[in-house]
Amino acid sequence: MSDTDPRSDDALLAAYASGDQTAAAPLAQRHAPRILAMAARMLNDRTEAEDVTQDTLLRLWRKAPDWQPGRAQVSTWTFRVAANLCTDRLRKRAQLQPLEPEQDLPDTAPGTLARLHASQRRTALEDALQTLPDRQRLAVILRHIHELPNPQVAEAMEISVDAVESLTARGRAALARALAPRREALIHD
Amino acid sequence: MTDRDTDPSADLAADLAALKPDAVPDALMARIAEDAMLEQAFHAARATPPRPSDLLMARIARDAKRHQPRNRSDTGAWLTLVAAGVAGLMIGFGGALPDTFSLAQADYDLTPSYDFELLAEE
Repeated sequence: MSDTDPRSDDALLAAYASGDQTAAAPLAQRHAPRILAMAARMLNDRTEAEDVTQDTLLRLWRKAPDWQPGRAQVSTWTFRVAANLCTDRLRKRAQLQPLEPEQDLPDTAPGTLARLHASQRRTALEDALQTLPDRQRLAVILRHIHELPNPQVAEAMEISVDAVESLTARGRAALARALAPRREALIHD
Repeated sequence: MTDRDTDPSADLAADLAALKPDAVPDALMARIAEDAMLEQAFHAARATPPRPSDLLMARIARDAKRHQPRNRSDTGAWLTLVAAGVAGLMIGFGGALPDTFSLAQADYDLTPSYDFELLAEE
């Protein structure tokens, strides 16, 4: 999947709103993967993450006629919508299911651990992410995996930059504690 | 007289010794190790993001087609043509001119409907 369209997001949205049938595909190719990645890590459920992705872009299509260029970035706006949709689903999930007991990560002595490959590091991180409170998890995902600068994370989460810094600091500390049993293996190549 | 009184470099030696790596606090080294571990994990997550399926992209494409505004200039031209035609008929039959503003506001579906198509794989 590749996007070679040279037009900016604002130009594509304006073209889409004007009836250009070639404008939707590059927008979807640019933003669907990012939204899906964020939603998948927030919800830990591929099917729900795909629903959030479709929902988010549906809202973008509906917003297109009223989109004001330069007021917000499409990337940040879609992250905000997707984050709110994820939060709604997590709240409903919490209401329907009792809290599960915390699952301990396997306790392996550093001297007996084999080197972990990148996929295992990713899995360990994704497991650890699920132990974080929702807003810490979202802040860490946007800041450290999607590498958004703090002001964009603040805009996506509709909070202040100071709040973002606090959430990411606490989130990193919590992740470090959750990953501590695997630390010696995780820092090796 | 003390060593410091006779040897001004004694303080300097003590200060330099304090800068050796083994004087770094354990807590700081622990934080550095934690940061290294986290950065490795974040890097792995960025390198292998989940990819949207073809079915998901097809659903998104379908939504885009269904919700795309009709070409405004085309719609305006069609409505003008319809209004002119109706006005001509009314004049020809000796009747009053229709309310063209209402005609313009009517939701005439004059554009062909789109068949659902899956996005071609790239």
